[in-house]
Amino acid sequence: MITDFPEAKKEIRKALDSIMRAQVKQNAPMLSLIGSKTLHEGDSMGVIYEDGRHVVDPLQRAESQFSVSREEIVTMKPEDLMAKVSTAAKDIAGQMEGYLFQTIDKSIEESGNTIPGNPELSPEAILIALEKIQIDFEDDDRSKPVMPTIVSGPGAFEKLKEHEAKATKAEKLEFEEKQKAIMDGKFKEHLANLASRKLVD
Amino acid sequence: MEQNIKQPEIKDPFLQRAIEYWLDSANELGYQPLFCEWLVNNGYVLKYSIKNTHFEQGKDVVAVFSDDVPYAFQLKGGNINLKRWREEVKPEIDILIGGAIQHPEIDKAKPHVSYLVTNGEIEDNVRVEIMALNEGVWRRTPLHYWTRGDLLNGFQQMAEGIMPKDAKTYKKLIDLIFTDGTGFPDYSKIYDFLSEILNVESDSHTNKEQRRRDIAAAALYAAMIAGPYRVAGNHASTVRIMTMLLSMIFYIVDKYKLEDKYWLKSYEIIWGDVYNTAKLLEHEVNTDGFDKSFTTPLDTDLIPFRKHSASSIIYALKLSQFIVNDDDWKSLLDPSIVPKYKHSVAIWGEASFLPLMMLTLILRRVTGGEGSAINQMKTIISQMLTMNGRRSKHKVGLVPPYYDLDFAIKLSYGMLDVEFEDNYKYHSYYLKPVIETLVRLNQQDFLAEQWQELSFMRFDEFVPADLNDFLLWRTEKGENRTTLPKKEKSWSELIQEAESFKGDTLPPTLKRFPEFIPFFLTAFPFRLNSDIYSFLYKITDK
Repeated sequence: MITDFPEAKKEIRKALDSIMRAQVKQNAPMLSLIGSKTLHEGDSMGVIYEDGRHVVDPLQRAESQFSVSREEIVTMKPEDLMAKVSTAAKDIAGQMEGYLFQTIDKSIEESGNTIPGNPELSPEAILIALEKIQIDFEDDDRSKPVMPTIVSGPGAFEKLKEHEAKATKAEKLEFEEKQKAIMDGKFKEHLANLASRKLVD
Repeated sequence: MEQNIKQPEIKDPFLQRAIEYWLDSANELGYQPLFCEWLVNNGYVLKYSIKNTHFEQGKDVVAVFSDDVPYAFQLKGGNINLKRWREEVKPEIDILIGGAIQHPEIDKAKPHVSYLVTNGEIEDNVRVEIMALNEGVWRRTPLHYWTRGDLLNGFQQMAEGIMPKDAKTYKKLIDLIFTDGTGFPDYSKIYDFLSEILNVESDSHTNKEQRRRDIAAAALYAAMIAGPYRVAGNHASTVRIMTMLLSMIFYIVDKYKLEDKYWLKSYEIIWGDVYNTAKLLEHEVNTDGFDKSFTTPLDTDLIPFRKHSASSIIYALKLSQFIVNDDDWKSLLDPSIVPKYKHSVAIWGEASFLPLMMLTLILRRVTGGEGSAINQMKTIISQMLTMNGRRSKHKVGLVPPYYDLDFAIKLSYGMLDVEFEDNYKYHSYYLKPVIETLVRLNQQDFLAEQWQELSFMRFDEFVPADLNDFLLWRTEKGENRTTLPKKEKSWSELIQEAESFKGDTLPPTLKRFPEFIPFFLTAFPFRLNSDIYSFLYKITDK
């Protein structure tokens, strides 16, 4: 064989792994918002909830593959390889994000936390959604709400932008006031939640 | 009466070289456990082995052979020339031969067979002198000797038929025995290698006699792997390697239901090695303090971590002694020693709390010590909440006990190969047992103050599908379980939970040898959970 450069290849592989990870994150925006933790063993994850329910789910595998022919290798440029890695990353991200949405959908439906009528993404729908969710306040400070992130398809997001563009000043003001009222309520809920966390006799 | 060590039937030149390399670099402490293992495997009944204590009687190892004849062995390291023979060795041999064996099961009136054993050579002029003495003053009880070649043959015998299966496994062994012994061992690689030798996962390997031979071979390989660490005087790493071997042996014992005759003697030898090596470390620190080990300016930032690595073994030793009512644990309270351990525990991850948790189990039982025990537990809670609680702004938080000191150092210095993106906010493995301990210590007011923040935490643990897998380094089957505490919790509920320990999640052999648990947890900190800590609490309550 012709002398190879295994150490250099190791470094290239490392760089590709890094790129792959970054691309997975980029293509799975919802997933990238969630803090990750590594599991070192086992084949399932379980949660024992406050009410004693014990829910165990098997770990899901996300994988992808690509192949490169011998002929391709000779003429392949770095950008070709990157394109293949990128496709695989998108594939993996799609699987992971898909499973995440499935899980979220399932728990939202189980808890009845859906918006009736499945309205399109609009300022009103956002206010209804805000009403339904719990919001944390960093350092228990009213001025530091940890606002949720909207994850939407590109079409829905365009419509939301249209709504915003069409809104009059008065409508915008009304939205802001309604949102402020909701957030005041949320802060009260937050304080009540804190107060409810106690050790009793 | 003289025993000859037979030549091994199959000579594996690679293995022979590897054993040679290890044996030549070992001192008598390094090969003593394996020598004992060899004796046991060859029909000797081991009575004691005391090389690394200060009480020798000229006999490092005493055993009885099947003909009921007592044997006494004096172990030496390296070559014995005439000068060394006359100045150091012969006076000890006089005691070896002349002094009766002090052991309740050995008849003092019965003459014993005396052996000088060395992993080096005995020079010809010394042999001539021994011959003359054997024909003269020692003629009734002559001195026999085994040298390097005999030991090599003996140790090779132990590996017969249980050699690395392929070149890849050989490479693993070579990498492990040629490592820099001053650092942290690569536990994952050691585990992989030893599990192959022990056929840990193989159900088809049903012959119990073969299991016994596997254990003897694993003892040989573990001794070789620990060799560089022993040579470097890196006792903490040696202890961890031998602890790993013992937990794998326990696994096999429980899983394949091995009766005592197949493994108990091996356990006693390896346990003796773990215990005595930890004592050597303690002796070093108690004599010289930690500072003697810090010799270069490069140590500066690493000093707290190096201290931690050593003190975690010493605290495990103290708890182990406390469990079996060995008064040596009291050195922990010795006013001349206590200051040496000041700032010997660094906080770098959840596993770093282990020494404090061990110390707590002792201090709470000492008159006037309960306050310190409680304070330590409170410190852990406060650190956990600061680093992993809901208000934490730390990028990672305290890493779970799956990550060791070596990882923590690399993480803090940005030396990891890949970016570490994990975040452990809200999560903890040790919080639940710590809370339960404070409940047992009746710290209702403190927990009431902290509950608001504690209730946000998620208590993590790993629950293996098979109880025996608790003893393994990693297992594929099992649940990564998270428990969400109640927002509003009643004190009586907490008491009930703290007292609900049944012990049925712990492997039976681990419970049978509770003195091993502190060392097991030091090497396997991710196995510390409510159950095992409650078990330790219970047995130290007596």
